[in-house]
Amino acid sequence: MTDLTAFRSFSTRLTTRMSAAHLPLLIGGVIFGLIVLAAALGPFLTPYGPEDTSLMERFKGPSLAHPFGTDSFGRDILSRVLHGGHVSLGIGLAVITISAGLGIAIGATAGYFPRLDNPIMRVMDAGEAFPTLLMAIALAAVLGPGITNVILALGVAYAPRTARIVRASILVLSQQQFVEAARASGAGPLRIIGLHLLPNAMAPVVVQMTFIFADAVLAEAALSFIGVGPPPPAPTWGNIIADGRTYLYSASWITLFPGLAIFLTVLSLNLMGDGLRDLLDPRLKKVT
Amino acid sequence: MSRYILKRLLSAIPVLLLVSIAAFVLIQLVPGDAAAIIAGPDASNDEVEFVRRQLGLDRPWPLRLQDWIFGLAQGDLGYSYILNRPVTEAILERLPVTLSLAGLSIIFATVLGVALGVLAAVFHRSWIDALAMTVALFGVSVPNFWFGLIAILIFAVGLGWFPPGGYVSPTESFTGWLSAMALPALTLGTASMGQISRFSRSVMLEQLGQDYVRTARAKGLGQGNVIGRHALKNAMIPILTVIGISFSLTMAGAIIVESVFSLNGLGRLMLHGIQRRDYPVLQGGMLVIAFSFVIINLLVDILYSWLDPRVRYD
Repeated sequence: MTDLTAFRSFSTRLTTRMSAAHLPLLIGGVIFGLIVLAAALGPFLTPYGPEDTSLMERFKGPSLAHPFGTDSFGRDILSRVLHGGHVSLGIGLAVITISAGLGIAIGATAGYFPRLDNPIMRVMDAGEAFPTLLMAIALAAVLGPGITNVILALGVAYAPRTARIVRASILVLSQQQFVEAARASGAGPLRIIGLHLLPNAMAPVVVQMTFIFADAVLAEAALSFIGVGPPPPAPTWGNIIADGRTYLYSASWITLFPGLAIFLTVLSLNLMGDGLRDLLDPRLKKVT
Repeated sequence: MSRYILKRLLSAIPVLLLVSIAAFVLIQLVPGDAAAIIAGPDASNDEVEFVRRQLGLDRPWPLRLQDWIFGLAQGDLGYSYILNRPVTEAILERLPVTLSLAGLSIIFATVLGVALGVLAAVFHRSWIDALAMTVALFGVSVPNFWFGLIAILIFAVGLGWFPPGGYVSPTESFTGWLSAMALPALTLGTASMGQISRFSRSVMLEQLGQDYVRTARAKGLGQGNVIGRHALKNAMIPILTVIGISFSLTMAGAIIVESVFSLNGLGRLMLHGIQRRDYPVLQGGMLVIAFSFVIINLLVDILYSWLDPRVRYD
């Protein structure tokens, strides 16, 4: 009986701890999953195309026919928000792929080769002296508006952040015995980095990728809003808000719904990042 | 102390130099003929050639880089053909608006952020903790330009508490300035508030678990003294770093928030620079923001060594 009580109390404690760590991950994952699903199924969820105009339907408030209302061209805001999700999430995914690729290559080189560490990290310092958003705005402004340029600008702007984290992990891991053993068995630097160091350094990188995804969605929307993102009429969330700004007082729904979509996406990614961090690498808790 | 400050000042020089080179390289990335773009689509061949010569684009890049660095050392950020005036002059005219916006938003973010972080840590795993962290999560997740528009809709148009935009100089009317800057500062500071409170919570939690806190409590010190005079004082050192980083983020965020609230600051100047392809203005603005980041970090480091003398001997 006593054993059973002790087991029950142990299992309750374990469940509480597990759910405390997993709750943000679960909530974030469910919201993000729903957003991805809605963006993917967008064309099947509404009868209107994102760029279908109807002069008879201009500035209609939210109704059953148009749950998010319509804009100055009579375009259905729900269709545009769903299609915008497609674009924004695609950009976010491409940005984390580029920043992870660049950041891992730069960080691993700096962390593994002590002679290259100082020059590489000083360049990263200079890169980080430009706030990411500013760097992205400047790059996008110089390269010209367009989805590819936004992806490139954000991917490059977020690379130093990943590089720093990879470098820190590689520096610590390089001192471990298993690396010493690999070196003694004749493994070259590429093999040691690729097969031994990077797989062990990935946990903080995965956590960081989630936060960069969230930041990239915010930054892309901001770039679109100020006119250096993908050019209109591409229905990105930032573009729809910029369109709606002119009619903020008379048709606030044009601005409201795409903003809510950005907010929910970023919120879900931040929750997932928090949960993943607690699960994979609690030491990072302080850094983010 | 002075030796430490000197060491930190010297270490900032290579970063400032690299930042200057980065700003120079950025403009070299402009695809196509930069002189033709800057001169505008209606410019004649002679005008394009004139701009090319004036900007030194007909000279090899090492010489241009040298001119740029020497110019910078004398406070010369180049010349804007669109504004028809020196870039330094245009930036200096707009800088007070941006600095006052960034300053106010950082004050808001720091006061509210640290307070929420401390409350969350002290009442760890209670509803206060959950509420404080929900506010913080909202701060880091909400797009600031959208939040600004919604704030205008509610507080300026709906309730009429604040003006929807525009700038009033504090020398003209202090209350007018405060009222004009309230919504922009709130909008710009929300993300930093979220970051500062999330970070403050974890640092405070770490400090509250330390032995010296237990000793202070065992001596019979009250909760206020233990938190305010012991734990928070030690926690403030790492929190300062985040505040320093937040300052530069707000300077960059100003580009967007100034546009939402029609404030004629550095951000709006840069935005117009982007729209009109006025690259010297964009380059100068970027450099000023990056320099301010380096200088703020330097000040934070110096403040560190004052708060915790051990840093000086590291």
